[in-house]
Amino acid sequence: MRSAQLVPVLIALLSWLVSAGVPAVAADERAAEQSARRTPLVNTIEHCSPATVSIFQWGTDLKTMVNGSGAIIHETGYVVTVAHVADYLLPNNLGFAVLYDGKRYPCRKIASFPQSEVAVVKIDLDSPAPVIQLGRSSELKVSEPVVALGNPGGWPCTVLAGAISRLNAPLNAAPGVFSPATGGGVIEFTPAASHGISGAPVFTMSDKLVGMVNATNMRNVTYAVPADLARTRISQLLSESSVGVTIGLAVDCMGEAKVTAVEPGSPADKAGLRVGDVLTGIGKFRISDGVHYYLALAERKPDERITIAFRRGGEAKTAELTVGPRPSVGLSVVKKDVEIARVLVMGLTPGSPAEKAGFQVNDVIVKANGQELPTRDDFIAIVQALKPGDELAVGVLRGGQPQQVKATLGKQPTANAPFLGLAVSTEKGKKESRIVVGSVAAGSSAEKAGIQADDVFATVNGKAIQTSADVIAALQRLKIGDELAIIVVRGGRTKEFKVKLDSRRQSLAETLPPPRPHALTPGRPPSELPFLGIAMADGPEKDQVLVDSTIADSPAEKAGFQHGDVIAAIDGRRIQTRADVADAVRVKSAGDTISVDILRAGQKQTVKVTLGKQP
Amino acid sequence: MMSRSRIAGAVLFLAVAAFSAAPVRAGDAPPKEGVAEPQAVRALTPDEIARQCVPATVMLAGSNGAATGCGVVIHEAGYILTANGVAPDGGSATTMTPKRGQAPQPPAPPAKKFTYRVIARMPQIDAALLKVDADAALAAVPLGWSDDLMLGEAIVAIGNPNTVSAGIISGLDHGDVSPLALPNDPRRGTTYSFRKGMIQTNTPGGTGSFGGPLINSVGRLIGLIEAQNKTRGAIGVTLAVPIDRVRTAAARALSEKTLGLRVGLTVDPMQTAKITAVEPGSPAEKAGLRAGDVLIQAGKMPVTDGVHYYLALAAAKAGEPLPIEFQRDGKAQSVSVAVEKAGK
Repeated sequence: MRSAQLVPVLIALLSWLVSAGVPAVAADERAAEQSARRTPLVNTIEHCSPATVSIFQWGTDLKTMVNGSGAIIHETGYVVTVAHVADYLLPNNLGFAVLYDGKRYPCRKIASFPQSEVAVVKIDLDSPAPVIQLGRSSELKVSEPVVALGNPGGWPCTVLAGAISRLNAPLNAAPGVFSPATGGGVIEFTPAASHGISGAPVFTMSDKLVGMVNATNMRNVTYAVPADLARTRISQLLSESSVGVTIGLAVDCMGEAKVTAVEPGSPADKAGLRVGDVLTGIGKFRISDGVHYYLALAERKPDERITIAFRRGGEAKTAELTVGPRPSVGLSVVKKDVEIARVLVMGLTPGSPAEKAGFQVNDVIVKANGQELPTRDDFIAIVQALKPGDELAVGVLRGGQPQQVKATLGKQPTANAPFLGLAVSTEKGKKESRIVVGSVAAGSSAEKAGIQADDVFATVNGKAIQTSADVIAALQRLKIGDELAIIVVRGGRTKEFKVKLDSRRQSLAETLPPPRPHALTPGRPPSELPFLGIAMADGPEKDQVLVDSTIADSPAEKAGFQHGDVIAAIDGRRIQTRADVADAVRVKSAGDTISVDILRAGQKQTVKVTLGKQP
Repeated sequence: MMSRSRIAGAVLFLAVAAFSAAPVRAGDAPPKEGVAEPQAVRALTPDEIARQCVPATVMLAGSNGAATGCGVVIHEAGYILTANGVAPDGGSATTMTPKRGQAPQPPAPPAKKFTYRVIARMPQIDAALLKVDADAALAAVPLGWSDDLMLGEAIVAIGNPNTVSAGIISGLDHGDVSPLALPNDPRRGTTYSFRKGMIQTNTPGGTGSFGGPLINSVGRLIGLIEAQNKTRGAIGVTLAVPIDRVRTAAARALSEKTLGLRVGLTVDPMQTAKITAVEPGSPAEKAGLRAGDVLIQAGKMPVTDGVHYYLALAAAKAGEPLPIEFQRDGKAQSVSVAVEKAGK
């Protein structure tokens, strides 16, 4: 009985299967094929590409564009890229970022560290952005597959897939772009990249960002700044002292946002934060990585009240604190090649007091009777002011070593004037790398004291300045109200300044250019782009554009364009290249009518075309 | 009683097995009468793709014998797709013979040289359809689709002479000029408006590869190698015309209207050969064809893809009957359509 009922059911099932056979194949087969085509690389690209951005800046002539790439590392729009891309972004506020969905947003540089090719750019978003996770470049293995997603030539989301070929590579392919001396090794991976991919995030197959493309040797390899270096540099670029605030936290920048130190007496200390706490947010700014804490810091201002969310032993807690001000001198320090005008001994009169005193040709005169770094004229004036028989104490540099020379002046044979017998000259055009004042903040204590940009540091609080680290060390552990003695060299003279430490007038957040309103035209979807429908060819004569063919059913075909028509002008604008045609059409919208002047068999005609939508 | 029930169970099991294996591997013969080959879809290695597809790639040469580029056989009856620019009138097409290590099983026929006819030129996408008259069925690459391509998926490009490059799709919707380049920008090269929406691959390309096939990892044709990126500083970039554009353009170039014929069938060129509409009062309706029927054969040509129908249409003549074999409700049927001249 049961089997007798089953038979018709089976027949129905079989006939359904047979009938389903061919038509069902298309959909099923395509789905099965697509899953067979899917590879780990495809998955990584799908996962990571929404967080990649293209960064554009108009050139000053507004005719060319420079472009680079970057990756969003925080939902509020913070992008990590390389410094030479972020430095495109001029203060003219014309730079913009194009997100994966094709939308344009204004963007601005937050900070860059050119020596290490690390930079942070902020996109002014209206909604949370997709993000990628920062990884650790120290965990990379040679031959591990990696993929870079960038936008060479302005084409969004171009894939550069390959494998790590070298870790800690010296970068000699593009000298000047990256200095391994300051940043350690870079990651090298196999395929060569095209222009415009700079700053492109490099991902592992576990979807973690491990580097940013910064150079290629144009033949077979591409170089990337390692993520660990980026982490370190971001924590320095956006540290409390750089931003100009005091919270009093040191946070691990290599992984989760774990507090590694709390400054005693600081706002964080008073609010009860402890070493080992893991930060999870500041206000609405979510923190899931140590680097995020430093990004959050970039937006802080003195006297702002903030709520820090953190985890302690698995328990979620919050602490409220007021951001404190930061003592500030108000000057930046840069290393610069400055022209050093040195006073040299050019010649000695035989038997003169100078020769007797032991001067030698090529001695550099650095001090004369107590005056530091006299110029040639100063030196001559000092000697002229003395009387015969007076003592002259001169500090010289001989072969780089300081020496003291004491001379007793003689008498000129013809007049009662002092005689030294030393010819001095100024050695010009020689440049030496020195630590100089980069800029002086308006209204800062440094400005009040009279320090100017390009003053060369000699000493700070009595300590000689050789490197920028010396300046930073001299400024550390100072409190508001402390006084600094700064000696600089300006125009060949030394000058001493007393600078009283002020609280920082402006934090980084206040000095950044304000976000621009969303005035940019968003990228038009292809369906809204105008469509004419001609294939063009270059004419036999110079600057001549011909209609090669028209696309069936296109506005151009309907308007009656013919093979061989010369396009002379569109809307009165002379056409010389095919690009001119594209430009004349591109600015229009579907539905707009353009008037095209054509030459057909030598006769001038005007054709009106209503542009359609892209098919 | 008991034994019949067991048999029924076994039949049910077999039926389920046959259904689960319904999606066939790309490149295999199409299922006929609902008999699916029990083979799961899997990604092929570049070597396997080369074995399948090198014999279906042709080298093109002008009438003077100078090599111009490549083409790909898309139907065993001798239909070849290539780039418009590399197919001069009256040229020749020579099938490629796999070199050692690519020998297919069973061995491919030796290289043959044919003189081709141009069936249709599609300058707006820089593609052309050629026909050679072969006495035996040629190896062909099944057509794929380009609307579901995935960034990073594996592809193989075959070029002239006999070069196989494995790579990945490195960009979609790309072109050869920066989309943001302005007039007078030195980065601007020659601009063709159709050179947008191209597939970009990281395979090395050269003039000898133009018109050659771009094949995905299940052995389907997804594009025609078209050009190299001319943007300054672009490295390792080849562009291909997506196959969906070729499908649409071919259906337009070989439409009843263009050919001057009246059959009355609408076949979707983007799919397997399914009739989507039949014009009322047309020869096709008179012959009894209905929307939903799946074509198996048209004229002398087996039809497994919508585009194949248009190829068959190109071979049809007004006033002559066009025999059509199709499948309806799982049963194969055949009719003869009296092709009329258009405008009657």
